[in-house]
Amino acid sequence: MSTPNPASAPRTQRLIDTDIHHEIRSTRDLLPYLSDQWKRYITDYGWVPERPIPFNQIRKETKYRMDTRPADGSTPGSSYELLRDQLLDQYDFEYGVLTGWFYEATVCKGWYEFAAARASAYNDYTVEHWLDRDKRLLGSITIPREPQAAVREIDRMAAHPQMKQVMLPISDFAWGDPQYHPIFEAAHRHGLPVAMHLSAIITAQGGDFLRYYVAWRSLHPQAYMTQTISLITNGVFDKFPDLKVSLVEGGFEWVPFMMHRMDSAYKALRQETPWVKRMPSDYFRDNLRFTTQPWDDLTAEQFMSIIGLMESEDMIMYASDYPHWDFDSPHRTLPAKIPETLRQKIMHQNARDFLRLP
Amino acid sequence: MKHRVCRYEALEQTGKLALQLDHKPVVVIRAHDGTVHALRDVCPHKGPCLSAGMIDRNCTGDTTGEYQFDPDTEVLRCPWHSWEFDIRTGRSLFAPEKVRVKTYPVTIEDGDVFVDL
Repeated sequence: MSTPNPASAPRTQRLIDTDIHHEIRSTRDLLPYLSDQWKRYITDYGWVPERPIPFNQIRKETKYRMDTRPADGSTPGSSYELLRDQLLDQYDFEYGVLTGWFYEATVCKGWYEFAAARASAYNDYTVEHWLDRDKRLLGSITIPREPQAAVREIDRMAAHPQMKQVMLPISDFAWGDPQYHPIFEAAHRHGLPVAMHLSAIITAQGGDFLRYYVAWRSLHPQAYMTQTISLITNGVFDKFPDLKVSLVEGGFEWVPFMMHRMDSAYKALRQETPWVKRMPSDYFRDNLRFTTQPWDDLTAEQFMSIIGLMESEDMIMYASDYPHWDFDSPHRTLPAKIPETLRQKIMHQNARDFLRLP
Repeated sequence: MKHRVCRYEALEQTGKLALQLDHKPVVVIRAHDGTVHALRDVCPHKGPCLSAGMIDRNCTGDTTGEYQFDPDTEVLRCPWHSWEFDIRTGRSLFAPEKVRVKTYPVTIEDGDVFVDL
């Protein structure tokens, strides 16, 4: 294990983590923030979030790192103190972005008023139990899927100084569709970037979840590709040229492939989407960001070839995915033999720019 | 150099024991058949202590949907990324020639477990 830096020691490297999953212990943590109308479904009528994913892993703690269960037995990621000790203090992070794990309020199908109430409650919980306790923690605004309700929630939460992005979980629909543009408009109006992260119901070509977890996990980038294509072809970045969107936990090795493939298609088929004014690869470089986790054990040579194909050092940000099982330590992610300037960009500067941090 | 690490009965209760020997992290494991093995307590992938992981039976299969437990192989599964190492040889199951954890000789004398570094 890595040794924590003593509080008095100077930072040897500045670090920003763009994917930390804080969790509620149970839906009862949301009760203080729900109206009586919705509370009773939890307290009296046994409502729990749908769990659509059919898989478990043969691991102690299943989807979590085996050493992240709090001593009281509660859900990994639900203890601020343990997260602080195992992550923020141990690695001396300057900032860590809470991406949560309550995407069901956004991607559920039906009962949208209750979903909007849950999203609001989760945001209030995040502020009181996490952001107010540690200024290093930054938040992601959880929204309901219905655009009008989503805009209301963004407007309600955007003033909080530690809420730094809007979270759009990736499900089985594409966020670039014009019906969702008010959400991007609201984020843009508040000067907030958007993050996209897989939810427990992302599906892809081949049939829902496929048969095995290893297969489902391997195909996640398919769904991320869909989102990038949808955003660009629907003109989101032509409407909001300085809007930034990060694709979190979906890999980045496929990005140069998609940049070139979309450019090729655009040259021949531009007339179908004349509102798209630039080459697709330009939007990738200027508007889209990607994260390191899950790091696919690339060598320095392999990694640098991807950076070369991207023609940009500004597109990748470090992420740990704490407390999930495929956590990547900031000390053991990037290969040793890459340029120091690139390392600094990935470990903190690109995230600083994306999140508009000082 | 041989180091006495514990009584054999202690391993019967816990299954594995993490300790420092000559400033080196070592995990001592009691296998299902009663034999004892010692491995370096660091995952060669990302560095967490393997002792924080779990001991499990190896699962094999030759056709889609078939699962068989291999009675001769037990694995130590990393607490982070689930890489599996044979507790007798330290070799990974996915690339046994390339990815492995260092092992140390173990002897049991009069109920005491010794590890030779």
